[in-house]
Amino acid sequence: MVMRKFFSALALAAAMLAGCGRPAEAPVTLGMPGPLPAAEQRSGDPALGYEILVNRGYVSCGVPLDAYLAAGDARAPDPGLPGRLGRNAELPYDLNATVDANGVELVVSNCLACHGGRFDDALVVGLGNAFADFSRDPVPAVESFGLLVEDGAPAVAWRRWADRIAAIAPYMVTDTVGVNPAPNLTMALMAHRDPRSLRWHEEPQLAPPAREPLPTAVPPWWRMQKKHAMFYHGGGQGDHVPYMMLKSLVCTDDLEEARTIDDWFTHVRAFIATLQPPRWPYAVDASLAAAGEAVFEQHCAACHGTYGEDWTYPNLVVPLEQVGTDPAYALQAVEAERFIRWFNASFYGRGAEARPARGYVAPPLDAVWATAPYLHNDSVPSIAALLDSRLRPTFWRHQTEPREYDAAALGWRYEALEHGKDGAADGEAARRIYDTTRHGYGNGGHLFGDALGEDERRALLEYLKTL
Amino acid sequence: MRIRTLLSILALAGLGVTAAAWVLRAGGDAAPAPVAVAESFAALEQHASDFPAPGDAPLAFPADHAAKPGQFVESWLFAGVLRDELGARWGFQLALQRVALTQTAGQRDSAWAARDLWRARLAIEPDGAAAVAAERVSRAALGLAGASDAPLAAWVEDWRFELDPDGDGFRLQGAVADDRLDLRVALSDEPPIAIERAPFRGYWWPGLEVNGTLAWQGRPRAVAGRAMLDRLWGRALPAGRGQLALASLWVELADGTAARCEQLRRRAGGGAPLTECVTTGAAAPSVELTPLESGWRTVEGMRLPLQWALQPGDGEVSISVAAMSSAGMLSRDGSWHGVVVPQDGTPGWGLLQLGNFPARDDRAQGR
Repeated sequence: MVMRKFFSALALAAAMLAGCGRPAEAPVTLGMPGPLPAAEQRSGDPALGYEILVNRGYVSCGVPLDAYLAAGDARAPDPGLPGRLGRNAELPYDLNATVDANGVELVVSNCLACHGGRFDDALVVGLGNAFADFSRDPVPAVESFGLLVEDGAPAVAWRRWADRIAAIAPYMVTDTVGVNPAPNLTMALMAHRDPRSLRWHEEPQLAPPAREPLPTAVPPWWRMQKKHAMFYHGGGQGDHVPYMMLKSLVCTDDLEEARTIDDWFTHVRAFIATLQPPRWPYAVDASLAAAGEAVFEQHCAACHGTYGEDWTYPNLVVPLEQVGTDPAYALQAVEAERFIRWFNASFYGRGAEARPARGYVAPPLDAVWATAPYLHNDSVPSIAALLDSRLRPTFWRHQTEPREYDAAALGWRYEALEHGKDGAADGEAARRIYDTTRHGYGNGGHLFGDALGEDERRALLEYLKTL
Repeated sequence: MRIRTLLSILALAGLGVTAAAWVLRAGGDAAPAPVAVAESFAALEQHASDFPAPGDAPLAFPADHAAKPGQFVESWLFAGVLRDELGARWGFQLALQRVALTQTAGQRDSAWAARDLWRARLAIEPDGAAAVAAERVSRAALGLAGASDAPLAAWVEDWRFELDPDGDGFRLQGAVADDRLDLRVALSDEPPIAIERAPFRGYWWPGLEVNGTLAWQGRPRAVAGRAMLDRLWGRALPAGRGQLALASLWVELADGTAARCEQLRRRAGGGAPLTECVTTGAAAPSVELTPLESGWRTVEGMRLPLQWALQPGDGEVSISVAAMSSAGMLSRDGSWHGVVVPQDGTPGWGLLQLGNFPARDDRAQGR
C-alpha cells in the first residue's frame, strides 16, 4: 500500500471547534463574517519546536520498528530534512521513531505526512502535500503488518495502533487522490474519546461524521504567522496549540500524555511561526509584476492584504454568499455542534476559541504560487484558472509522470477531461480524476478575476510570483 | 512508507513458516529454539529475494504443470472427494512442495548433497471418522524426492504424481501403511483460473473428474468423484505468521460454481479479517468468509474453526461447510488441513487449510 497514508491523516486543518474547557452543555457560539480577532500565542523555542517536529512521538502509536523494517520500506531518508536524530535519521521524512511504555520501538506518523510537500523535487517543510493519496482503505495494509509482528509487547503495540486505524478508516477514505480528509478524521476520533479523560471507547460515544470526507486543501504553514484563525471557515481562534496537536488524538489516551504534547507543541507552534515562504525559483518580469501589484492592490488587497516589509493582512471571513465558493465545508463545520461541544469540554478546549463561520477566510498569499491547487477544496488547478473562471476544468487530473510545474499558469500541469469519475476506465483511473460536480468538490465562486482584462490578469499573475 | 500489498506480505510470511518448518524439522521432531526459528526466517527470506520473481508469462500447459527449478518455492495440491461402490464418501489430499536451498546447482562430491528440499502431505479422510494422514520431508538427492520433465512427474519417496503421456490427466499414488490411493485425475476442457499475485503465481483448476482405487485397511475399492489441482510457484507461498492466521478455503458445488478464498485474521481475535477470493462463473464477487461460532473444535490442543460460511457479496444464498472427517490432519508445523462438505446437504465439497491459528494456551494469553 502505498501505505503511508494510514499514518498521515490528522492534519492540523482539522477541527472547527470552539471553547475554553467549558461544560459540554454550554451554548455553542458560531463565528460571523468579518475580521477575526487576534489572540496572544504562548511563546516557545523555535529550534526546540523543529527538533520535536521531526524526531518525537507526538503520535504515540504506530507500527513496531522490527515489523516496519521487515516490510521493506523502499523510501530512503530525505537529505532535505536536517536535524533528524538517532533512529529518525534512518526513516523517510514523514515518519518519526519513538518508544512506547513497554519499551517497544515504534515507527509513527509525523506532521510532515500532510505538511511536507515537494516543489521541483525538493522537500518543503510546511507546504501542503497536494499529491497525498487518502483514497485507499488503510486497513488491509495496517492489518497485514500483523504478519511481521512477534508475540508480546510488540503485538500489543501493533493491535492498539491497528484498532485505532480501523476505527477511523471509514471516515478518512477520500474519493480523489490529493485532497485531505483531516477534518472528518478528527471528528471520528472525537466520537471515540471521552472529552475529559481522553479515554478511548471502542464504540463511538457520539454520532460519527459522514463517511464521505469533504475534500480539503492543506494550507501552508508559513501563513500561520499572519493568521488569527487556523481554518478556512474562521474556526481555530485563540490558542493555536491545541489544534496543532490534534493529530495526537489517534493515540493519546490520557491527560498526562496530552499535557506533554501540549508543552511540546508550544515550541512546534513557535517554529511554525518562524517559517518563511519559499521564493519563486524562476525569472520574473519586474515591470509586468509592478503593473500587477497595482491590479492586486485595487482588486485583491482588501481581502488578501498587502505584501512587502510593511505588510498588512485583514484576517477577514468573507460570507459564503459573497465569495461563492463551495459551501459544504463551512456548513459542515457550523452544523457539527456535537463536535464543537466535545472540543469545548475537552483538554483541548481550554484556551481555544474556534467559532467557525458561514464563510471562508481570504488567506494570506505568501508564496501562493507554490500552493496549487486552489480554493479550500483544491478544486482549481492553477492561479490562471482561478483568475479566469472560463479556464476552470469541470473534470481534471494532475499529470504525475512526471509531475511538472507550469510556471505560466502557476500550478501543477494537469489534463482537462471530458468526463468525470463515472466515465473513467476503472476505479484506479477514477480516483485520480477531480470531479467538480461532486458534493463538496465544486469549483465555483471567487469570480473576482473575471472582471479583469486579459492584460491585468497577466500582470497579476506575474506579481503573485513575487509574493 | 511504501507498504507491500496484502498478499505480497502474506506470501513473504509464508516463506518463513513453510520453508523454515521444513528445514528445522527435517532432522527430527524436537522443537527448534525460538531464536533459531527467527534467524532461519530472516535468512530464508533473504535467500528468497535472490530468486527471480515468477514473471507474467501467460499460463502454458503442460509446461506449467512441470517443476520450475529456477523458482524458490513451488507447490502442487491435489484434493478431492470420492465415492466408493457402496456409496461411502472419502476425502483425499496429496500435496507436494519444493523449496530451494541454493540458487545455483554447484558440483558437490556427496551423493547426499541436495539443491532442494521437498515436503509432502498425504491424507485419506473417511466421512465422519478419523483421517489417516502423514507428512514427509526429504531431500532431492539419491532419488528420494524430486521432479522430472519426462515423464512430467514429482515425488517424495513413493508418493508421486505423474502427467499422462497425452497430457490429459494425472496419476496420483501414495500410501500410509495399509491405506493407499491410486487415482487418475482427468483435466477438464475448462481452462484453470490464473492466480496472479506479486511474489507468487499459478493456477487453480477446479471441477476435475477423478477415479481409481482406494485401499482402506488393506481392502481395495473402486472410487470416483471430483477433484482440483492448486499449483503455485514464486518467491513465497501464502501462509499465516506473526499475529495473523491464514484460512484457505476451496469450495466446489455440483452446479459448477466454485470459489477459492484466502483470509488473514488476527490470532487473538478482533480486527478486520482480510479476505480475497476468486470464483468461477460470474465476475468475481466480494465474498464474506466467516467462521461459525458453533464450529470451533479442539484438535490436539489447538482450537480451530472447522465450520465456515461463505456469503457472496451479490446477495446470493450463503453456504456453510464443515470438516468431513472427525479431525482432519494436523501438520507438524501446526497447520490443519481437511476436506469439507456443505452442511445443508448441497452436493459439493471443498478443502480447508488453517495456518498459524493459536494453540489454546495462546488464546488464553491473548497473544
